[in-house]
Amino acid sequence: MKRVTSLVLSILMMFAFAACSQQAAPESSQSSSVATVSSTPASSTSKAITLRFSWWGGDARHKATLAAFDKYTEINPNVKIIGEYGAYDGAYQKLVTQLAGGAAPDICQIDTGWRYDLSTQGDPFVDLYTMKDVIDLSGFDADILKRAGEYDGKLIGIPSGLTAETVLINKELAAKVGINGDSVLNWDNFIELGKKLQAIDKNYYLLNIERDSARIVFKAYIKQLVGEQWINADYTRNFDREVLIKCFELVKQFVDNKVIQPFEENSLFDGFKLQENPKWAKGEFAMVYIPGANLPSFKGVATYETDVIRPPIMDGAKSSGIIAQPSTIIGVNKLSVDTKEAVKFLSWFLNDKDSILILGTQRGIQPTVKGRQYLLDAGVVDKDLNKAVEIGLKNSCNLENVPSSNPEIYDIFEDAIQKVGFGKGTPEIVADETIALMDQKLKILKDAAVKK
Amino acid sequence: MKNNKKKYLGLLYISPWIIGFLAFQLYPFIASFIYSFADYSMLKPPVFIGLKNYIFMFTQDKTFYQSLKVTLLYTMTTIPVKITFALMVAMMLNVKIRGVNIFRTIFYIPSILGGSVSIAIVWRFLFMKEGLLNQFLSYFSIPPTNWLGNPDLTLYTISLLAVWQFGSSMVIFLAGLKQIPVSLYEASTIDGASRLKKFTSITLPMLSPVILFNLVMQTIYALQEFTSVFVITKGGPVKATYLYALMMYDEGFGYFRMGYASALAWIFFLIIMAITLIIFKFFSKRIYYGEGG
Repeated sequence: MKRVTSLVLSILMMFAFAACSQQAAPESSQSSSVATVSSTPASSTSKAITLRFSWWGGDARHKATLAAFDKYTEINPNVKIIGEYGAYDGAYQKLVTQLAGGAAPDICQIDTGWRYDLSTQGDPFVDLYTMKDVIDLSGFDADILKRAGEYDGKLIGIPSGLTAETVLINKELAAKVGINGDSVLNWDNFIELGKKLQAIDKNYYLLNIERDSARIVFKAYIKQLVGEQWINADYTRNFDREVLIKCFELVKQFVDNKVIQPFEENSLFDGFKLQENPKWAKGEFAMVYIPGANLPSFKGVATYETDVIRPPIMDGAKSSGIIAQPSTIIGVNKLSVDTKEAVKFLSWFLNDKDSILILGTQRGIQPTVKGRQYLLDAGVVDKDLNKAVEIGLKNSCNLENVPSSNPEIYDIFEDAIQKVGFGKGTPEIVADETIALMDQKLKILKDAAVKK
Repeated sequence: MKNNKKKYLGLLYISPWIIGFLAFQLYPFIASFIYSFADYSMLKPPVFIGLKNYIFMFTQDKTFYQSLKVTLLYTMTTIPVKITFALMVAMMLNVKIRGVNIFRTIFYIPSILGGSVSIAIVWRFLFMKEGLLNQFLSYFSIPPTNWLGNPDLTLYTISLLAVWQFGSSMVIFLAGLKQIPVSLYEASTIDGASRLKKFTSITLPMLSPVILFNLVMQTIYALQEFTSVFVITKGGPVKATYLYALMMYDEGFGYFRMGYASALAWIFFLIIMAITLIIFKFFSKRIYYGEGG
């Protein structure tokens, strides 16, 4: 009897070890059903299906997305959608790991900049052009689909919203230095305004910034000097040493003139966590320069009125440096439990009136004409986001090419900005180091791209 | 026949561990060695490239050396402080007073909480500019310090988190202290030895094997530190806390270079082994193992 008991316990422990190797519970997930993921796709039937959908964002986006799932389940009672969501920080690494392990969700929100690497490394997403009988693409602008959702002729994701880089202002504080919703800024008056604000109160800063958003700001500056792309499609730099020195000198001017909070203080909010900076909630920043899709999370924390203005553009700029594009696309995993059902859900999610009204502008302005009309008719349009997209579309530069949006190139640039910001090197020295690192990295990326 | 049955029964009892070891330790160990010679993105099959990963690491990757330097600095800062502190507290707790067990438990709790994500988040809020520590210091008119934003201070702030988890070392020291024969202290008292003399001539030599154990184990843990820097600083500011484990994570999961990350892991394994051997070599003549040692 003892031996039988021991044997049973041993077998149970073996299964316990095996279970530990299965995917751990997602960061946040809402459903009472158990996710079922198989490694072979199955055809759609009326049987009970559970699909997993992953995304990142703020609380408002999570709430709206989950509400949309509930609505879909009402209409299709045999289909249950489990949400796997969290913050942007770490979302890319998590998705890569899940794809590598064959355990990625059925439907994935993807940053438009990720699609190159994800597609070249393994082609894990369904080509939605091959599923036109299931998904309605008629409402989407073909050019936007091509520019933001395609890779190598395949449609790997559908834009979930239009957004544009913009400057969100704290109306009350900005007004103290004469900035209002119609103000037009360039980099010179930017610095003057920063000094003025500091003169009013040492706790006030013109621009809320950290490492990742600094990349958006100063990359735009470089593009205004050199043109639409800061890295050429052939993996060479489109800027020289002098341009980079100018850029880093601007960083230094921002720091020296206290246009921005010292890097020692803002570095805790690296990773686009600017809205967590207590000074933003307290209204001690006049503005923040961010992708428009992030506006809701900043406005949610602000206890003051806000507005948007055009980001600064220098006189005689070769390009505006402002990117207006879908910030995220949504794709379907080739290893989905039910590819057809997943694509059907995606079509409903992005086209259906009920879904659009529930989702609102949580992923930016609706990408379809009829979607925008639904929200206008319902009076559900965030005025700031709408204005940001209008300004962005009016002033937009081209979408970035593959090497320009590479995460490793971003890392090198962000490190360099921080180095200058922390006073760890002069603009000249840091520019030389950055060029050496970037050239080395671009060569590696080019070699890798050629092999594919 | 009966002996064979017993042998197989024994194997059956430990089979869960064997399976776990094979699946989650030996297999990844061997697989990572093979991947270190390949260009492997995780989403595509690995492509053999020979020693290219290792050559790149030693000849072109500046981040490798920077990260190694930061990791060694972190280890050299953390370990002496942690072990000294653990020994001091263990000696204080090696007394027979009422409630000493409660004190031992309280001092051990940080080790249980360990390098968890939640503790790292709490640490971040404690040490940020508007955090609790600066608020406390302001009562003494001390101006706020950027513990986590200043590249010259951040690594030491992270190091403090590791030092705070001294409980496990303390418990091991406590066990070691209890093994020291009381007669030695009594004899030294009769001889008129001071407390310092007793500590240096009795406690330290008798505790030397335990000190060596703690030194080696804590050094290995410190070299592999990941959670605190991942959660609190992400390796910043300006790569001041870019520990080796974080670099491996970025290479493997951020940049689709699992092959290179595997090569980094193997080199780090050799480095840790070398450091451990150096520690053993340095201490070999200084360890007192008793009459049989």
